[in-house]
Amino acid sequence: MKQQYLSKTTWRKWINVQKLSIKIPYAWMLLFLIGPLIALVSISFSEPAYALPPYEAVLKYVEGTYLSLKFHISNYIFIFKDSMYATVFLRSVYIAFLSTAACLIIGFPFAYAIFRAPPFWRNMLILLVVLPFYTSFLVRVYAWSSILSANGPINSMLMSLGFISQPLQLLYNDAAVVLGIMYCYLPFMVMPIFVALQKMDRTMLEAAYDLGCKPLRGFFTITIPLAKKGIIAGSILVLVPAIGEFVIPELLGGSRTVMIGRTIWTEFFANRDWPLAAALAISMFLLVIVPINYVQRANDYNEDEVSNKNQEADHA
Amino acid sequence: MRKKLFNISILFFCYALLYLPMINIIVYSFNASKITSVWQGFSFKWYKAVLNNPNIISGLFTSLKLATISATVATIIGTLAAFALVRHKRFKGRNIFESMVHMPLVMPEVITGLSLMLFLFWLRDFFYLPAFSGITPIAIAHITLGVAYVTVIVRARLSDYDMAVEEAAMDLGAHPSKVFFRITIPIIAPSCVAGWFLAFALSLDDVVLASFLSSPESTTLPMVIFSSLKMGATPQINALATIMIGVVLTGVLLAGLYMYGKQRKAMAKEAVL
Amino acid sequence: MKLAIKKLEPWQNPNEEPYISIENISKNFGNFPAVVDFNLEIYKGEFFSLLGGSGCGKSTLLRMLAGFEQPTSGKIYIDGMDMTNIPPYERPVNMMFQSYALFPHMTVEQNVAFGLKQENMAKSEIKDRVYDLLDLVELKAFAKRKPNQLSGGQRQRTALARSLAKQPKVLLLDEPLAALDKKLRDKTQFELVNIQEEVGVTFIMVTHDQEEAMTMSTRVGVMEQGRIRQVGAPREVYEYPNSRFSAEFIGSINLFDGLVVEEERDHALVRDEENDCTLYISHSASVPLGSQATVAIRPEKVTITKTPPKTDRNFTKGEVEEIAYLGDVSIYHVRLKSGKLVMATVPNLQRGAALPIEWEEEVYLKWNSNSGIILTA
Repeated sequence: MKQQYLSKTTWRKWINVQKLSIKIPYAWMLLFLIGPLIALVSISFSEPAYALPPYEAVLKYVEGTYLSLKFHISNYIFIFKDSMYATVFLRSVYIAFLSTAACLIIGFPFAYAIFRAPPFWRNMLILLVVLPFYTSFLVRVYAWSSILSANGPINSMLMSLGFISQPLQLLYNDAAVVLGIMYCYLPFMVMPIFVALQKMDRTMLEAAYDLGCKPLRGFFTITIPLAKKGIIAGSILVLVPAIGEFVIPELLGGSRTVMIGRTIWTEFFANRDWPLAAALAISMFLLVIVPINYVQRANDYNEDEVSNKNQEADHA
Repeated sequence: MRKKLFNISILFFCYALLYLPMINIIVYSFNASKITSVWQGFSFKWYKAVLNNPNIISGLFTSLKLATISATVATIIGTLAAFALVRHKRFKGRNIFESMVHMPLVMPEVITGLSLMLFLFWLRDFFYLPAFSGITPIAIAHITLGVAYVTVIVRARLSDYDMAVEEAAMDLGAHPSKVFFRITIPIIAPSCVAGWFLAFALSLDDVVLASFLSSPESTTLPMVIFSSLKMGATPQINALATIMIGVVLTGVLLAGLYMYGKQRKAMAKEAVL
Repeated sequence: MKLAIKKLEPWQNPNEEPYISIENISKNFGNFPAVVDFNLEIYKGEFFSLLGGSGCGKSTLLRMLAGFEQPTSGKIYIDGMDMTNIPPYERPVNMMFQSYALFPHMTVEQNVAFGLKQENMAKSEIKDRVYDLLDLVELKAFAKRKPNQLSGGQRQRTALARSLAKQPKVLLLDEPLAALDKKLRDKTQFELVNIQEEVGVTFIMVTHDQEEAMTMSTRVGVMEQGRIRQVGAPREVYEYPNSRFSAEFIGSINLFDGLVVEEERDHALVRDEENDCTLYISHSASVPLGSQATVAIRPEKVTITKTPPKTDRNFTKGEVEEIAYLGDVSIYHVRLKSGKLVMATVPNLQRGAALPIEWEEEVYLKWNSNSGIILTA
């Protein structure tokens, strides 16, 4: 009896230790993820001021006795009123969509070609897709700025072939940014599509051929719909970071390529308008990230799952 | 046959797109000319310059220190979080917990960086907490991001393997703590290592978070490169980039060889049996 | 009189043209011969089963009929047309896959309609055909569901409807029942046969389950290592196996090896020295006197007694080693002096009856002279 009692307490102790596995990450995330978000929201509702820090807090202890609570929605109103910000948002979304489309146009055939390669080569080919991802992000962006530069290889080749006499301005425009984003995020597009293709049951295509479907039609009616999940997942993986992208437009974009990430940065560091920067960040989060997350949820819904309820029908 | 040729040409084009920019950097890093893209003969001088550049060297050390700390802490917290998510199917706020852990994966880094920066100021100015200084703010941001990645990796491994293994060990008389150290840890160790390396790489590579949170005494290597790129490229960057590519290639190659060796050993064992 | 009414089976009728001819088909995967110089003729309206263990080449043969694999050599004719180089999407053949291969992104209705759509058939016509088929497989109520919302049995029937939609000349079935559980499988066996009789399509089924093959097919082909070992109606293959392999593969069997000591037109005598047993078989061995022969006797044809029989042939003696109670029957494993194990099946006719024979008892096993069959291969 006593023996059993003892072992029960050790069990309990162990389970308590296991509870720590919830508490520690929970505490960390509350403190350093939710805390900052609360700060961000709160500052987005405060008034800018020439002070240090450069804003008047929402909740403030006023000299004397009372606490004051003041919400300013002026920052948000400003964002909505000034068409510049709308333009910036639209432009970011536009560039991000273009980049995602470019990624898809290159990434799908790429993934499909790897999928069609002999199995012996596939792992090697996939490793080669991921390998550049392991090199520094900055190096990858820089690589393009060097290729596209006035005396870079493209311009010098075109000049030596006599197509142009003056170097073309290939850098510092939207196209360069789209190219840069496409290049940096290509593995994010290729991998999910490849995984989706590989998960696809090969007999599906055989079944389609067997039912009289020609290979090209099979590609469109079977292969692409079955890879849809991978296509959507890859597109989200490219689109989301592309919208908030900061480094690539900074290095490859021109003065007209103003994206949200860059604008937030400017408001924060150059204009020292912290409340406005915070309001921009919140707006971006709500306008862009929330809907995309919703799409992602819908995509995650597992189609292959069989509910057990259906199995019972057989023996009813 | 025609299909095959088509396939090969697609692959050829895509890999060219991926690798030609890299090769371009590597070639020009050995260029003697000061103008990055005019070839004037072979030289190691930019490598020498990189090694003698105090900004780069100190940035490198800052980055390595930062990445080691953040990866280690992120692996510990992330593994715990993965355990919580796999082993505790029901606890208060599980959904919130799960979405919190995954949030950094989808949140633009600009928002993460900005909010953490504002938060730290907030703490200092309104709660009179001691200001974080040095690499601590960046480390916090990198840990938060790293936790998300580690959790995903370890969680996949944990939910993949059969709980019955642990139950079998307990059935054979092992105490839960012994089961944990003898069975669970060895099984998830590879995924923890993978998570650590990913968190390390993320930290080493990050520009956005660092540019919000760094202070003059904590300038990371990507920050050094970023600011010098904004000034305009110098051939030194080519050399530095080549060194970085080289280190990554060697690392991946060694890891690949290690895995290959392991696989062959396993296969040899099977053959003997 | 009765004999005259009985329809002659097509394979017994010399005037009947085969519907499907497989001529000298070989298929190698690298150095591995999956199918070796294979010849087979199947007639219209048959339900033919290819039976064999895994890796015997039966699935490869099926895939060659469907057009997914090209034979290394040989020819395939269906309804008089050479199919050897026709791609799968142009063959008048449809296949029901083991995994069913239902398109997960389409509803039951769309799945069934898929084949018809490829023919540019009018929409209303497609719809009518699809609903006729869904009626046939009793899935009308599930037309708008996706495969993941169906039970295993419903998926199986969807796959069947889909493969029948184009009214193929031949339907190929790759282990059609393997994914179902035992009870459902037994039920579906009869359903499948009924549907085949209703639609009148020639079925070729691949299976490793001999019971399935026996109950469903008009003829069975037993395969081993890419070759066909025996073709015949289920009863024929069971009662008159032509080789050791098909005797052992289908059901269980007792084999006695001996020498032919007497050979007449109507009977043969085989002497098994090792087990001190003389076997009298009421058919000729068709081998010269003194040659080696194997006599095969099914366990249910062996009777087990405690009293010694009065003859000097068709019996042997041993000790009961094991009694396996299966409910309807019990199987006795009797160890002979030579160490050989012989099985005898005894029906359990009465409930609660005391075991007539117990473990470790000395027993006699005997059988009729028309029970044994001489195997020379």
